[in-house]
Amino acid sequence: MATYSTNQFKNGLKLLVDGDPQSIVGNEIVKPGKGQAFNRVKLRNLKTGRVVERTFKSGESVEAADVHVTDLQYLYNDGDTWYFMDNTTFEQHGADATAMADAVMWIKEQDECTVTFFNGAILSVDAPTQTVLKVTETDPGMKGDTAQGGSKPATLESGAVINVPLFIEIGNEIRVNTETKEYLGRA
Amino acid sequence: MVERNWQPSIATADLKKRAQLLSATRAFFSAREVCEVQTPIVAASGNPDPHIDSIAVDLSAGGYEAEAGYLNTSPEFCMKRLLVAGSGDIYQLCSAFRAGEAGRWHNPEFTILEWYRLGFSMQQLMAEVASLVEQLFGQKLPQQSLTWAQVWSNAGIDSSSEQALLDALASEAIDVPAGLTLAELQDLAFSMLLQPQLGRDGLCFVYHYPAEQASLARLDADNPNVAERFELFWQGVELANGFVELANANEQRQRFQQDNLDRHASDKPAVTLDEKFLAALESGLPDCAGVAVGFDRLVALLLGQDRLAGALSFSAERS
Repeated sequence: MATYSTNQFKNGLKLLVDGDPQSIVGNEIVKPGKGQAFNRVKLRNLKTGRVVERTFKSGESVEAADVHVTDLQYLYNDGDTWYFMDNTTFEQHGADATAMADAVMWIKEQDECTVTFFNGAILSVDAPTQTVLKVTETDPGMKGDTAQGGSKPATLESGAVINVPLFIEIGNEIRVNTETKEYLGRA
Repeated sequence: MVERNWQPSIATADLKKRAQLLSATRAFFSAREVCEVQTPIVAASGNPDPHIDSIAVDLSAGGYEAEAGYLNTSPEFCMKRLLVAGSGDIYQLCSAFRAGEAGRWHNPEFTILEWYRLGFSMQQLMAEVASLVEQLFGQKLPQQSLTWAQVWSNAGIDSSSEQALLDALASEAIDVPAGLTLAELQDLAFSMLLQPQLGRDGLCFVYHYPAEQASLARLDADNPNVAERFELFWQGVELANGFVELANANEQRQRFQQDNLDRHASDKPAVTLDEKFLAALESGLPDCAGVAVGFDRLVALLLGQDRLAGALSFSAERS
């Protein structure tokens, strides 16, 4: 069982706390002049995304979470499992809807996704931060008027709905930021 | 990958202000005829304090008498040996090192300003610490002195009750690790609940720490339950720790032995006692009071920074 001492704590370290994999997103040491030091640690639960603050006695060891993060290529979805391939080993891994969460709205086949494994199974999937997607549904465009402001909703081939400028039409390929859910430009 | 951490932690303008604060500090002591000294950074013995971990250094390449040593956690032992040898009033500005101490107000390598005054009482030394801070700050500051017990009673917390401490921490939604001793609960509650409020309006001295936290301070002659030890807080930051110095070599040896028992209880290796220091105490430490100021913290506050790194050329992650 791998462990980390509080002295090794730093942002990004993955700990097993309350049975869940949690990532350190903040670490503060508090210590009276002559007395016991404590680490006040902000932890992001990698399953739920919730951030909690926990106190550890400095010098204590905490179990490490068996978590690793890697880029995999999205292959296809068979209904309830999304399949990804490791392009170096050609190994395939499946993710369920819980692990996919929002990512399903933003990915298309062949996309490179950031996949987080916990105890050998896919825990979460992040869509590429920037991607190109085709518009499958939107109100008729207003041609030739690219300078005018205003926006309208558009449905993308992956299922996400975002606001796009009025001149965008069905069939256009657009660049989007999947984190901010924003239109970046025409592809 | 491009290395982005080559840049200093401190702003260039603040680097110059830090230099001015260093010379103003030296002028302060020079005017008081306190002699600047320098003592070794590498010590043969570590610090027995159960809450301070020394950084070991390999000395086997030679030059030193010992094969292994430690980076100083404070210049205290050597400075007291100078006092025993008849140095008179002395001060030092030096680097000190403490393993594992890294955070917003901690850096494993930091600057200590430590000085000793012959025949000073605790009150006299607290007054001198305040004078130094005011001189560096450039104006008078409101001052407050509270006993350690008063700090707790002002907050309405019974520090002798485990349940009261747990309740107070719970009311601020502070998670408490299981199995803490009463002393550890006090440390957590003091750091999280009391300290942030200390010195909000000026300098706040807390004195008469409990005898169990005496460290190297003499116990109060009238009330041996408390030690002649003080700390200074400003803007919620702990800035200084001072003692009327314990001169009794036997009592000091017993406290070190107790430290080692405490270290054993928390699975830390015992520390070989510094026999040169104890031998010096046997020869007779003059009646004196001494204080250590976290100089980088003081500089950070004087520069209006909200973290130690703003006062350091390069903090540990950039060193």
